[in-house]
Amino acid sequence: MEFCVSLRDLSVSFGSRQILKGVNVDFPCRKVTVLLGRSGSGKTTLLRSINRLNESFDGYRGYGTGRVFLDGVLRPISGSGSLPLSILRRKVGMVFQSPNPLPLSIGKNILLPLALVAGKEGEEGKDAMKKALEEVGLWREVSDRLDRPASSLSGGQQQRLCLARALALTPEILLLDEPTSSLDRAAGRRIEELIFSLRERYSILMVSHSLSQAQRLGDYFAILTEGTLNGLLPASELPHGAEAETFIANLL
Amino acid sequence: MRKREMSLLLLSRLSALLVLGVLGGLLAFLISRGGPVLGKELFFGDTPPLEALLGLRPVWNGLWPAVAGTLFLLLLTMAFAVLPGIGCGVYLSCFASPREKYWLSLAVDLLAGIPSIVMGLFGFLLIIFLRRTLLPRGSTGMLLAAFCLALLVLPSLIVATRSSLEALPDSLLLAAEALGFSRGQTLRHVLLPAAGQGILGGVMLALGRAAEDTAVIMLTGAVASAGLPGGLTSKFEALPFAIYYTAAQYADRAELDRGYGAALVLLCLSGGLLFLSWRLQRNLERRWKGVR
Ligand SMILES: Nc1ncnc2c1ncn2[C@@H]1O[C@H](COP(=O)(O)OP(=O)(O)OP(=O)(O)O)[C@@H](O)[C@H]1O
Ligand SMILES: [Mg+2]
Repeated sequence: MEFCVSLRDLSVSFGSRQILKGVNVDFPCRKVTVLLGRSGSGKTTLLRSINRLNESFDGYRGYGTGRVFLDGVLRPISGSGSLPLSILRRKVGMVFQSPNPLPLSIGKNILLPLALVAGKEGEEGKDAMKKALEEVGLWREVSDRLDRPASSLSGGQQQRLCLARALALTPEILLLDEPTSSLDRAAGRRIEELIFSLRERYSILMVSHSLSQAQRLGDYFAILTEGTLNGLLPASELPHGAEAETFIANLL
Repeated sequence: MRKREMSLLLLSRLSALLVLGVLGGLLAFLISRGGPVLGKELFFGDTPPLEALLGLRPVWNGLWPAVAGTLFLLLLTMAFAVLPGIGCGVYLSCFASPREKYWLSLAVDLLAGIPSIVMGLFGFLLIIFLRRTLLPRGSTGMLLAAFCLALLVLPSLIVATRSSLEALPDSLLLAAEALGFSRGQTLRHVLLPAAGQGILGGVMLALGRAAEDTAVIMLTGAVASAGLPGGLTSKFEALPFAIYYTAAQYADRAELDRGYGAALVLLCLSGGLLFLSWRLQRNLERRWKGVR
């Protein structure tokens, strides 16, 4: 199996508290892997260690090795031989639990990162923006109000804007941290459909609180218990219907 | 409990009214005394306005040189103060270690606590020291006054920048970093513009403080009559000093009214500058946000 992220004995602590305690896992390429685990088990921390976002927090310390497969090359996430931080983050896009558009207009939310991180400005930037907005089905809704504040969009639209912002930077891996948890059911479904349509082109690691959502989307499951994670569970090995719930509950 | 809430409400209402009342009273008084004397006579004396504006002929008994002096002084002061003020605020909120933060903010608080007359004395002693050592021909003047005024207003810029940056939500920083922005890009393109409103507040405070201060400039180069500002090292006239001088030396009621006129002019001048900086900030913010 080809993998996009490989973690070995990954441990993370903040201050004196150890959050991740030796994670060993290979996440497959161009599949949806759903991370499951109790609240506080370290799912967000695990995602953030892949784009090195943990380093932005006080008291962070990390051990172990992590490697990413990007542009056809396997490289360490940090340390010698790793990609520059801004390129790593460009290639590993992230969408947060609650929508976090920048306090700018809808258009500039995508144009600014394109200009600063990807060096795409002017017409080139506008084309890339249009493409990304089309990819998330937002272009028709916002094309005539690109200069309105992003905060004027609905929650679901904002979340799609954030996804488009990540997609515009042409990532290979997407980290989705409970992308539907702050949305109502219809908007959540919309995002799910989107994730489903992206699965063949991107490697997707997604945290989910909803088992049914995980079952709808996941090709693989990873179960995080008290900061440890060992291996993946293919969707085919998961029992169907209500049994799945007790099966997972036993693992958590 | 209800009663307490009611009295609290009443108290805060009254305080708000008090501010409005005091401001209104002050304005009404200034306008009633100073308003009638406003006119080209007040600014230019007997000199033809056009020639005075172009600096072709000196103005002897008008406010124009003081207006020009104050404008020039403010410009120079802000040129000295804005960059270090904002820079130090950025350092304090984004880069300083806890230890540095402690000592640096203590230093800023101390600087903020220095009375302006002490700052004026400092400038005066500084130029005496310089005359004995590096600059035997140095003298008090525009440059020295602007430097001391800049020291005086620096803390308000630092504090405003720091607190408005620290008030930004962490999620903003995280969003920018997750997109791959470098530290500098995040600061330049996201955090500083988002804190713009608060920083502008600091700039306004600094402008107002520098415009009204008399104690510093009295000791560092302002004089009662010097004509239009002649250069960086020459003596100059300034509105607050003109007001102070008139109030201390007036001979008759007409002269005192001209003092009120000068106060009104100073008020309009700083009001105008505040308005300009507000407009500038609003335009910059619109450009940044990309919002029509
Ligand atoms: N920056 C930080 N500083 C200190 N502790 C942290 C930090 N980030 C996370 N933690 C702690 O690490 C633990 C795991 O947090 P994390 O956000 O990874 O959990 P999670 O599995 O995503 O939970 P949830 O499902 O509620 O989102 C929590 O107990 C949290 O308090
Ligand atoms: Mg989480």
